[in-house]
Amino acid sequence: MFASVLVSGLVLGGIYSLVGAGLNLIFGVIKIINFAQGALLMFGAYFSYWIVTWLGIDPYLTLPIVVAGMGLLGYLIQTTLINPVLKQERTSQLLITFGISLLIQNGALALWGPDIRFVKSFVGYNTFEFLGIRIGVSAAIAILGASIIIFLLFVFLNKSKMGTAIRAVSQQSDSALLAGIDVKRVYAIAFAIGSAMVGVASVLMIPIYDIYPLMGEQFGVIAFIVVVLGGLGNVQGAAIAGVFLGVTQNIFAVYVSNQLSVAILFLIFLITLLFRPQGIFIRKMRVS
Amino acid sequence: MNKKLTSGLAVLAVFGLAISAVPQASAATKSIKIGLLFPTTGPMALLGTDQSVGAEMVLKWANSKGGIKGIPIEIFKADSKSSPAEGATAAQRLIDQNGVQIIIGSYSSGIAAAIAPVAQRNDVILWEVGAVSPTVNSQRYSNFLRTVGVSATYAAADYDFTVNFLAKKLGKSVKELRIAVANNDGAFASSVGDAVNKLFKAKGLNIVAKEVYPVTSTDLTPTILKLKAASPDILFLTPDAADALLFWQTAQQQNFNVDALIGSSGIGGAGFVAKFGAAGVEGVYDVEAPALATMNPEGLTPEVAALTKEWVKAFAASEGHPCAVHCGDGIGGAYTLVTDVLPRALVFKNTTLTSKGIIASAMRTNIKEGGTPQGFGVKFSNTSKATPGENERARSVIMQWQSGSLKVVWPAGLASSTPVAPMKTWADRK
Amino acid sequence: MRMRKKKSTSEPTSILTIPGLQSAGWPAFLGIAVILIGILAFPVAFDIRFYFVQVGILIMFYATLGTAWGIVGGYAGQHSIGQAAFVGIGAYTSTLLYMKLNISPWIGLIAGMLLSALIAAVIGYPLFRYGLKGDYFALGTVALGLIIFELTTSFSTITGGSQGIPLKYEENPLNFQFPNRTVYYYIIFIMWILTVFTSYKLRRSRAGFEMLAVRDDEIAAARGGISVLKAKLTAFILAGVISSAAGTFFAQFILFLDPGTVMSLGISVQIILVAVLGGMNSYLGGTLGAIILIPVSQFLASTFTERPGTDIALYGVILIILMLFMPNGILGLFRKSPKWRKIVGW
Repeated sequence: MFASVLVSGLVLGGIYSLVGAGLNLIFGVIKIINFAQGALLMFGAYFSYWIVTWLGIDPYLTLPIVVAGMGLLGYLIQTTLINPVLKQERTSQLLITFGISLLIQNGALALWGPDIRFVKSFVGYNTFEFLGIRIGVSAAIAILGASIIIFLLFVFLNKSKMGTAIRAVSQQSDSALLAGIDVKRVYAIAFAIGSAMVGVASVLMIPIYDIYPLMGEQFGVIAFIVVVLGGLGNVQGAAIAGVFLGVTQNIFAVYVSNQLSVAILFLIFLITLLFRPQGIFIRKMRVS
Repeated sequence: MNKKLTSGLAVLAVFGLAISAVPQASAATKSIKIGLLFPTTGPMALLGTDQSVGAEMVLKWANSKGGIKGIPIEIFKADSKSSPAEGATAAQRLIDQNGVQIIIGSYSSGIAAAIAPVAQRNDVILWEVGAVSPTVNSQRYSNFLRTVGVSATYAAADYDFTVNFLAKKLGKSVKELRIAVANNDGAFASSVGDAVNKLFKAKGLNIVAKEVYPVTSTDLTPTILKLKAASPDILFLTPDAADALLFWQTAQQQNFNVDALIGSSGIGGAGFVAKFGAAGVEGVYDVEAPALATMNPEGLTPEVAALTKEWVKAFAASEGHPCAVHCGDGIGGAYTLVTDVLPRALVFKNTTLTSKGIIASAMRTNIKEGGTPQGFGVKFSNTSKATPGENERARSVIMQWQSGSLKVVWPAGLASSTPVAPMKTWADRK
Repeated sequence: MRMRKKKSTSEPTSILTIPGLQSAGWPAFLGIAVILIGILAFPVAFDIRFYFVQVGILIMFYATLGTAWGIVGGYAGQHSIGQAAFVGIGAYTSTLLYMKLNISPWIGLIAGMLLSALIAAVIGYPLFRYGLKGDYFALGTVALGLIIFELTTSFSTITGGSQGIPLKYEENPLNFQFPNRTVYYYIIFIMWILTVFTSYKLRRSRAGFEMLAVRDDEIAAARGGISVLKAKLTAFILAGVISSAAGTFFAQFILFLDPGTVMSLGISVQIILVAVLGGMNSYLGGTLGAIILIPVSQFLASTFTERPGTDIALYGVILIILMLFMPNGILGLFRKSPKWRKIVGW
């Protein structure tokens, strides 16, 4: 059984990494505690759901549209709602994101009701089985997608001009300004890309998780744990952190206490913040 | 004196007597103000809304029949936002701004427990149709009246079904059966899970696994793997709406098979069969108050059956999903209120509706089995009992998914179909 | 009192201003007296329905919590997003003592405050000692709040778990329960006034000065001989103790207790909202924020009943707009005028 638990933890961890990837850019670069992270995930999910319902295509095929749409949404949010208050108290920015999350979650509820919706992809609920261990095919696809996305992000941040600008801003926004970088524009692009990645996460997750207004809540919190454990802006770190959290959660649930299996993540979060706020899984090749 | 003046004086005299006979503060009731207070936002919104809509339908029907003894019902709606504190505030608002005399609520035990003192103190009735925790009225408020069965009725139905049907069908003696109990740590699920554990342990059954998972859990694989390792014959599962779906999906993916799964809440919901298809949910049991759409109407008196049929149809038309358990809670609870308790309360007090009158009327309620849309009778426990205001005749029933429809299969009187066991394995489905 | 010269910024330095209502002159005192009398008379004046009294109670409850948050968030600069944990500790302590050991909630109130002080000290010490700053501190408090929430749910045999505890109702002032519910209004009024007064006095005191110094520039403050740890810890404990008292009150008022009612993340955010909207640096901030936000949300809830969720979505829109245009809160709008800064204590 241990092998099954371990593998299930790895799978869950892959999903956590996926969810954290988007926040890495938002929190890591713009340094904003984004209370709307879960709501964005939900938004992407509903977005994909409606495309599937109207066009009748497989959920995975909605990826390009959702990514583009979410990117645009992120850009808009940053430029209209967050850039204006960049110089203000962090807490005011946080409260704006809280307002955004209330709006998105309850707007969805008001418009589409509390019914739980779902989509079925071409893989359905099939599983891969080996040595008595089972993994859902949709979960495997999610992890594959997560790996690709994280890799692409890594390449982007390290090899492209915009990526370098983002890293510069994330490390030292004042010096970046001096170097002639348009910081506000960089922030907007970072939020856009971060949101686009949330869109990827939504599309990969909805064949596994069901869609309803509060679906993103828990993942929103966990995204923060992933990002902090991995080190702000550190893409590979976040990937490892996600996997670590997933494995810990499931092993703890089986061998220590099922009921406290979510609380343990918060405890790890707290301990990390206290003793290694720069992140546990920092590698030599830090992105920022 | 002339005749006109005499008769005029006589009329005045009678009028004066009539006015003085009625206490000044409460004149004849012009309208009956009822508040519907359910969680229509927040995590409980999905099923809370069903209860509210069901109750509202019956109130509107009563109005279409001219109201209660000719007095119309004014309906006010409020949202408890899945929060007890908000529920208490909303209750106060309904009482003060809308002047309601009766609050129909609450879906959630926590919210009910917060509204109960508000109702008591403002001399308003809390007509509870949904919450199931036995501790809701632990303070023994007189203004609390509950139509639906508490969590102990779930356990009782589970036990009854296990002992009188499943054991035989699965070919084991009762003590040989391997029982597993799983639930999330939310209020409803833990109240039912606790009740099942308590009863089954007291009866000496073999509980091989007890799993409580956090309601915020993002992965039920550990829970399923642990249950699988215990090899249970029967699993009693109490989830909420979303984790019911996640559980069943994970069970499929991990090839977790049991001979019988008795679920609740989300397991009996429309979303369950919509997501997994008829073949995917075939054979799964659900324990709760009955789903009205698939109950055997022969278990009801003819007039109740006819009315229920109408309401079930209307609900499906307006809500887009069948009238199942929670819709039934709303309809059943409101039915007893408008057809039995309120009319009698009005007769008592010269067409003036008071809370005391409603309570006195409720204490005389004596509806036999089959006399309400949910199939069970109504008799409220009085203050000599441990918890007053509970419906002693309330019951949970066992339902089973058969051909995509949730049929009542136990007890026989309300059953529209016979139960089938054991449940197919995943390999044999489809 | 030595004044340290701060490195120049575009914002006027708060610690150089000693707030004083005296500078507002006697019209202000008259105004304050009138307002206070108005608040006191409100429930009894016009045969008013209890619902409005209840809204008044909610306003003062959140005003108390918001003002308390202003001490740790505004004065000491530590933006804690876990304040509700202390509300919960106070509520559960007094309730459990009352339900299990029959101890009067008045005593439970004190017990809760002591326990909160202890827990705040135990939690705050590592948080501040390790120099958890800014965002990390905020996230740390979120984590703490969530842990305490989950622990309360899990130890259900003691705490009643998610099913909660309905409180015993024995109409007896000694049990913190009153037949006339208006009495609760006056109790929370006293709590609120005491809290605002404490915040005002603190602002003018040496301890308050130290907190502000630490907020503005920790390193400079340390060099100036101020114990950074002591300043932050004092603020944190004080805020926790006040929140705890408010928590006990709330449990006694609602007569039902479960984790979601007193210690959820949503409540922590609501507290911050109230404080920030009013203006977190001012002792009046929490009050002002509560007076606006609570009636707005109640109004929205009673108006938009048809499509569930509409009222909350609109509340979100209002929040966004308010924060965009007044990121420093309402009283923050006055921060450029020295005269007003003295009065509101910015």
